[in-house]
Amino acid sequence: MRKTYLSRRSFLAALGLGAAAALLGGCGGSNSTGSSGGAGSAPASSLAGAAEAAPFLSPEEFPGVDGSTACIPLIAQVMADTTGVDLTEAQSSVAVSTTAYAWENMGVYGSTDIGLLLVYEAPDYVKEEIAAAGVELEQKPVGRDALVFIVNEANPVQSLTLAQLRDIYAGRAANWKELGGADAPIVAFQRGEDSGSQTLFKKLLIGDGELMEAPTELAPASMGGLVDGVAAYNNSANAIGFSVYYYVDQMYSQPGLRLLAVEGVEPTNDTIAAGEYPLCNEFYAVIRANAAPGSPERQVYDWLSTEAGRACIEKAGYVPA
Amino acid sequence: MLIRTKAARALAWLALAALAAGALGGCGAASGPAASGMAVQPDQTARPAANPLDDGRLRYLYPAHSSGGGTLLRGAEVLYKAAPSERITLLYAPDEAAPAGWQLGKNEAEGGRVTEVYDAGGALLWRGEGEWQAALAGTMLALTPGGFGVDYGPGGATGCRLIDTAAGREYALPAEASGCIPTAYGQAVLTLNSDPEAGALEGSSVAVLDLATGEEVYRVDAAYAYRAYGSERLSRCAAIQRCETDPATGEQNWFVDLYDPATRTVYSRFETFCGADLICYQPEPGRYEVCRLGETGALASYDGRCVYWRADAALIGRDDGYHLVTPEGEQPSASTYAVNGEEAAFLLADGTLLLYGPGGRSAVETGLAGSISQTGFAGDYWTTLNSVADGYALLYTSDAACPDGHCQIYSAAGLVYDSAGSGYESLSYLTMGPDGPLYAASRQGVGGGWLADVVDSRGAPLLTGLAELSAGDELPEGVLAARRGFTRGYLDLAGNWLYSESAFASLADEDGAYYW
Repeated sequence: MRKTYLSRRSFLAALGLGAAAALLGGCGGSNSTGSSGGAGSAPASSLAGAAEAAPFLSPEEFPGVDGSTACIPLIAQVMADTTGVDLTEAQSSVAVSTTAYAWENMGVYGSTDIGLLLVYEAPDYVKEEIAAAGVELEQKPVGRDALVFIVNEANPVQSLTLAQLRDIYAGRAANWKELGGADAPIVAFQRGEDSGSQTLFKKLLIGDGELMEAPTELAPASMGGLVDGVAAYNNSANAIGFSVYYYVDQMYSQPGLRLLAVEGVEPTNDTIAAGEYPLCNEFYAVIRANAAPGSPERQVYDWLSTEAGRACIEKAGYVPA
Repeated sequence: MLIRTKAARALAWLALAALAAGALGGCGAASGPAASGMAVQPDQTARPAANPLDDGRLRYLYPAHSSGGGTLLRGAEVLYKAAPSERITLLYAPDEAAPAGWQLGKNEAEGGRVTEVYDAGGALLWRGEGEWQAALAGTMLALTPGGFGVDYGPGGATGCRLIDTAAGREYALPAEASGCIPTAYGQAVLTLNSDPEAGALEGSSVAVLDLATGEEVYRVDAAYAYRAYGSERLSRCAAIQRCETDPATGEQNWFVDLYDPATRTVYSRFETFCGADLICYQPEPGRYEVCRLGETGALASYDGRCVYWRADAALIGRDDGYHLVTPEGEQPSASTYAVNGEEAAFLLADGTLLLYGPGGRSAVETGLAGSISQTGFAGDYWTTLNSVADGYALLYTSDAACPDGHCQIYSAAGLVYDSAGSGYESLSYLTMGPDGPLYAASRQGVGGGWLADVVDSRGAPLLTGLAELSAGDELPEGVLAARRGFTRGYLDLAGNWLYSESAFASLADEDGAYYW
């Protein structure tokens, strides 16, 4: 796993950030603070309009790529389809530094070995860092995912409304019996501040609303000590946690979990594609705005909007944007 | 618990405090820990009829995305799958190749941290509140407060504990004990943080206790003790780091003594283990002797430290570099060598590679003299010996054609393989295959990632497209730890998973590890 060891706090301190910045990560079409490279146009060597993947890059030409954990299968599929390498080998090759660090690697630290991101939305503080760094990025949504809530499969609660979820995470609803469940306190887990899921959670559910402190727990640190960090979801009988749908459904896939319906709508590829599930958000392909026409990263970026690119996204199990 | 008061230096040694087994926090027969909060569902496919992992040895498959978590196995059986907040540590007893037990640090549902220690058979030996680092030797269990272990050094937290798990008895240690090295010889080597105000080392002492009598059999001040690792595994000895101040100049000189609890011998100015149960030490300044551990009769004596010794070869280090002493005389050697049990390989300054094995010695001309020096670098170029196995030596070298380096494999017959132009960035020894040693050969993957192939001594690939490839935790020959695609675990050389699990182990994978 690619890791950047510069912490968010130290980086913020180094820059003395504080200024508001233009938002990145808006939904919709190509969103660039610089010149567009012509999103949607296929590379000259690609077979635009054909659903079958036709490699147009050599493995050596494929750009350095980073992204979110939940995008790892997509990155591998894109590698395989655009270069012709074996899918399993591409899966072995993928290393990401996770959502916040991936954005920072390209947009703040200027990592020259990263030419392409496949990534979920950046946390607000990272958007501010990127704006302050003055790096112009070009991005477009390539797929759609959803924030999903997880409980133990034995929990009788099947569905919650958005208001009930907000009550839980504001601390106003503290017992499952208030929501039709057992008489047991609700343990509402959150995620690390840098994770893509926490960003979506704040954006899609909490907004400007009240959010209680996340439960914390001691966890091992790499140097042998313990740190008090955000507690990880433990699937206990009274727990509720969240993640993104693709990760839970396609990657983690552990027994004993159940996804809650929200406003009566279960999260599935179909309800996410149709926009019926209420907590959907896009994920993105990102390149530097000055990526040259014909450069490998721009070729892949453009190809993702072709029929073959969309087929690649679907083949990997995602919902295309 | 931190004791801030200046404790009496005399050890308030008490008679053995016989404690009920229950008071030791759950000693006695008990089953393994309850399953972790998240269910275990190993993805085991294509398991061969005879699984070479089924050797009863404890193994720990490290977590891929976190400082905590991971999977503990006994043989091929999953014993425990840890959550990211949990820490598994294998415990090695002196002179034993396989772990003697393991410990688990975890959070209680009602809050607080607990530590549990298990033996290799799965019996709970001890359970206590807080984070502790355990060490085993025979039936003795030492516990050091905190997660940093008995090798923490001077100035650590006090409050060590020592328990005879067979007898169910706890020994009353001095309150200022900040380190406790258990032995299987009725002694314990303690580091005493006896004067915290004096500074880390100045206020630290080492005391060796006879557990039967309670007597302090050896003591040195301005020192701390740590477990000494031999050439292949944890030794039975304790190393004692001490500082001597020259009264004339005030200069501080650091030395290590080696204490052997089996013979109660102190080897002053210990230098290094130089072979299996062989040590080099300075009985007097400038004279370096090699002897068998437990003996004092010198096998050989030199004017420089001996870093490797066998009857027909010794590698001696002096200020001007390393020299190989053979029956033919002394020869300048590169500052690099490789040892693997009875095998050894040395590179001489003239480019000659000497391969020592059970069958004797072979000399091979490498032609690498231009990139060999005592420091490892010769001008812009360098050569290092990486490993020797089954008569094959792996070298890293650089030259004008490959300034960033390439790998070469030599046997007694000469050059067997050169990675130049192969696309492989580096090789490292993995395990023995049916026809000789196998290596992990790393190469650039698509998109900036790294892949590794398993190749033989001629560079021919057996398995390709792996990640996280390693020899693992003393796996049986022919078994590898690796990730292939989104599956990780232990592979045989035909590519069958002997144990496997998903690479996505936790809902918190995206949250990452803690680096501080």
